[in-house]
Amino acid sequence: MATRLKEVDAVIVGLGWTGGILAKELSAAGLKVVALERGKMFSTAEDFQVPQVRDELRYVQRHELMQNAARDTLTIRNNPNQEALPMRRLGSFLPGEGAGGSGMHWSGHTWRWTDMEFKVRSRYEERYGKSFIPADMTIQDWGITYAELEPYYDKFERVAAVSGKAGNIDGQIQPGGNPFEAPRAREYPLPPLTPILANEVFSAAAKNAGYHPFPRPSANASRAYTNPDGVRFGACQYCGFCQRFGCEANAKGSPHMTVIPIAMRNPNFELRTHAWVSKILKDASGKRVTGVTYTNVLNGEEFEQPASIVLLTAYALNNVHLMLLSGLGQPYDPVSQKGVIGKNYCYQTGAGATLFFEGRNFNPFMSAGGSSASADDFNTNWDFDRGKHGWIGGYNLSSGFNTALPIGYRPVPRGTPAWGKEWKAATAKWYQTAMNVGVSGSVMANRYNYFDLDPTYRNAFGQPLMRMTFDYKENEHKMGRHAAQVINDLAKSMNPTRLNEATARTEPWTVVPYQSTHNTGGTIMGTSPRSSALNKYLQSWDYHNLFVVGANVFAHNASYNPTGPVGALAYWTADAVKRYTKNPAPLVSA
Amino acid sequence: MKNVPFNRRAFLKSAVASSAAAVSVGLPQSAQAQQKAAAPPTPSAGYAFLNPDEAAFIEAVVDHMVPADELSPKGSDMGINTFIDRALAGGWGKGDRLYMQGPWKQGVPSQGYQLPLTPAELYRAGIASANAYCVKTYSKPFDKMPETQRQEFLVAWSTGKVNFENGPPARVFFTMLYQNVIEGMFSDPLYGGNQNKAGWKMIGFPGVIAVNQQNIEKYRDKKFPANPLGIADMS
Amino acid sequence: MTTRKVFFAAALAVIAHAASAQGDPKRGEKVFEECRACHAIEKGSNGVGPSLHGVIGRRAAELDDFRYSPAFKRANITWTRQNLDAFLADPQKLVPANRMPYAGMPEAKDRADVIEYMQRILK
Repeated sequence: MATRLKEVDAVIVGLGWTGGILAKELSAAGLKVVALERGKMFSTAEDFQVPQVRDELRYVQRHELMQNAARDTLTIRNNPNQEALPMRRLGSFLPGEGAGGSGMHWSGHTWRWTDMEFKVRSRYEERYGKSFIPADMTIQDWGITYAELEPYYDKFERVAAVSGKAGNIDGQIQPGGNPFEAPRAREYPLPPLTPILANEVFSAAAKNAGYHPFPRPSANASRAYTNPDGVRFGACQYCGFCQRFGCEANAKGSPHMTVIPIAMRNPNFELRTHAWVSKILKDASGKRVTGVTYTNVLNGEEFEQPASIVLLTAYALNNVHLMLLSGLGQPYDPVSQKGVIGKNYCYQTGAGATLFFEGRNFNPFMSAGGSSASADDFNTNWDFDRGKHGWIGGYNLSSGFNTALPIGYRPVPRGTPAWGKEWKAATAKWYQTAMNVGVSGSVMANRYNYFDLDPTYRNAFGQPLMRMTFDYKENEHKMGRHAAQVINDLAKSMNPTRLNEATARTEPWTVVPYQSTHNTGGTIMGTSPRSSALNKYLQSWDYHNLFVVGANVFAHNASYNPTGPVGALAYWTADAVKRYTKNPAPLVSA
Repeated sequence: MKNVPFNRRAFLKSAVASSAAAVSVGLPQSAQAQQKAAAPPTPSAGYAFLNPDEAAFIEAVVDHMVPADELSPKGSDMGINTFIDRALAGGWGKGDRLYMQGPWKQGVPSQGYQLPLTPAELYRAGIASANAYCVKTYSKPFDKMPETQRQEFLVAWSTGKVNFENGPPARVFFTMLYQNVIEGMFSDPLYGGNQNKAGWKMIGFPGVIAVNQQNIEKYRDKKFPANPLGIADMS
Repeated sequence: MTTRKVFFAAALAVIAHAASAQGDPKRGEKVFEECRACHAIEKGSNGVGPSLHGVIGRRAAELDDFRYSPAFKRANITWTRQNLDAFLADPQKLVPANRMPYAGMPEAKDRADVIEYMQRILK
């Protein structure tokens, strides 16, 4: 029997960026807040110390900071006609575990998503007509605007120490920045990172081709910095061990060294680690949630934590899983297209070329997490005419390095044998003399890409695993062919000694190898309870004291990394919850 | 679940015993050494998981894939065999972070690893199957085959042209083995491979010290003078 | 305050190759911002790095309540102004294989100023 604990004002489920931001903001506002986190607490000094943290095998290959698939994973399939099987080992995406979550092992790329995403259906219909959007493409407007979110983007950029160059301040285009970004109120808090050689080579070629390259904004402090909360950042050392690793220099904006320790200094806040939440509880009225059930995984003891407000802030996939396990909201059905929980799962796509330059030295082991130069001519550039190409969305074109460590990164020209003397010679010759040009592309929502509960496989708590049904559709394939052409034309203009050309993806999505931890959707925000799970304040339409925060609220996936809007929406939601506590009712009438 | 359907090694030995051409699959290593010329024995770090037949197979694979030349010593002199042995003896080999609940189905390639075997179990069954295939095809276990036959077999194996009868999927085992060879060549020497940082020296990877804030400018398009250090060098 | 200053000026004079000119402690405080993500100036407050309270004149790896890297434990040096200057210029050169995630302070004036600040404030 679960031990029933004393009720608190708010319980937070999962303590990464979103849980950490809400923990800090709501405890400062006077709420009694308890956070429940599956994993342990992390500290830079103990957990990310040199030399132990410089271990590619441990952190990259063996997934040290990641969710343990032996306890909980998903089943996966490409379409509803297949039998889903468990992802037995993490591969294509890597959710983090522990206080700090994926915000410790991310690279720091922090973008502002704009109305091109938030008003996706209305803008495409307005410009290209209703029939331009395929019947199965279930894209819809998000119910929020860029203008509403701008101050919250700004806040997150300052807290996380984002280095970058503004491209548009109050409508004035800024030299050196991204001319296709939406207007921002002011500059980034830190100047851009020092460009590496690959950035310069790419940028010169991109300019020649008529594109608009700019330094990628990233939460890697380009110099020592103190954020608005008084948290001190060291300068990034371009160590080359960023993605998959914690930062030993406190130079990468991460929840475990910013919002979480600040919340922990507040007596209104309590963190319980090793606390595995298995269910969100609801009352008989079916209009309110009442708290959560969790297990202390250090000893198996079970608890019920009652709360006036439940904030679901785990990794995007786990948020959706908990909604399904708890029977909250109507599960999505792809046949009738009724129901909303599990709807519009999206991922990302990509393509890339490797360029080999005899005699050059790219020093791939020297980089920050955000050592990339990017161009958005085929992404946030709304003037780029999608009409004649027949696809919706966009891709960010870029070049640079991030964690080019030798188990995973050993470029050789196509046709090189996989072992033997010839392989060794090519590996030695090209490791430092290659660079790449690639894209990260959007994935539009589709009727048949969704989540539900698996009928067969169970997690360590005997609960059904979540089932992911996903594949790329014709829209993504068309965009991939366009991107491969753009990459290859640009790569050839750079006259490399050898070139591994980019190829458009044709195969189904696979669970190996690693691709991207940018899983979105499942409990999407929107304008109506018939088509979305949450209102624009990330408040459940069905249970007004339940808020769900993370990339699971995105109604589709863009080319950009998701953490910028995830962080901004967490601050946006914190303000909404503060208003809600004064008048506990739906913040938007259904 | 923990047992391979039948004892492959015993099967292999009986198959070999009935084959006139193959003589030494189960021979102690010392006896094998006596048959060779006076090459000085390489000091071994010892094995925690691999049996003698398995060790001979792995040593032969890593020495074939990573031959000695001016760029590096051969695979076993870099400790790649030791790396694989330690990986299989440790948590990863025993299925750490691997979802091991049934039911078990073959699935489609996009669903990834679906075997009811831990990595250590896959190696045990897979090496026996690979040697059985080699004995059937070349009349010798892999480590007794000449270079040209080793190459022919590895190419066929890596390109999906080899099937293990009643054994684990050949290609799944090859993929894991190849990945482990790469890991043993380029991971920190702490794990038994990449001895003397030979893999890192081969490509100029500088290892654990990486304070490059000024090096970005200083070594822009210049060769970085890497004198690699590993975790143990800083401990 | 004044007596201290006099004392340090005298101490400085006997250190043969100390950082050339006496630095500007006010500017040094700003330069010290680079260090503060890891080093506190309060006594007994350790972060990623040890507290720098009273560091000048201290033996390397001397504090009981900080786990120093083996490199510092073996270093056998005292943090004189001269050693600190050399260390800040190229940390891996003076104490090879130390684990401080910092590439160094290339400008001599920055080092002189920050050392002056540490000398005056962190006592």
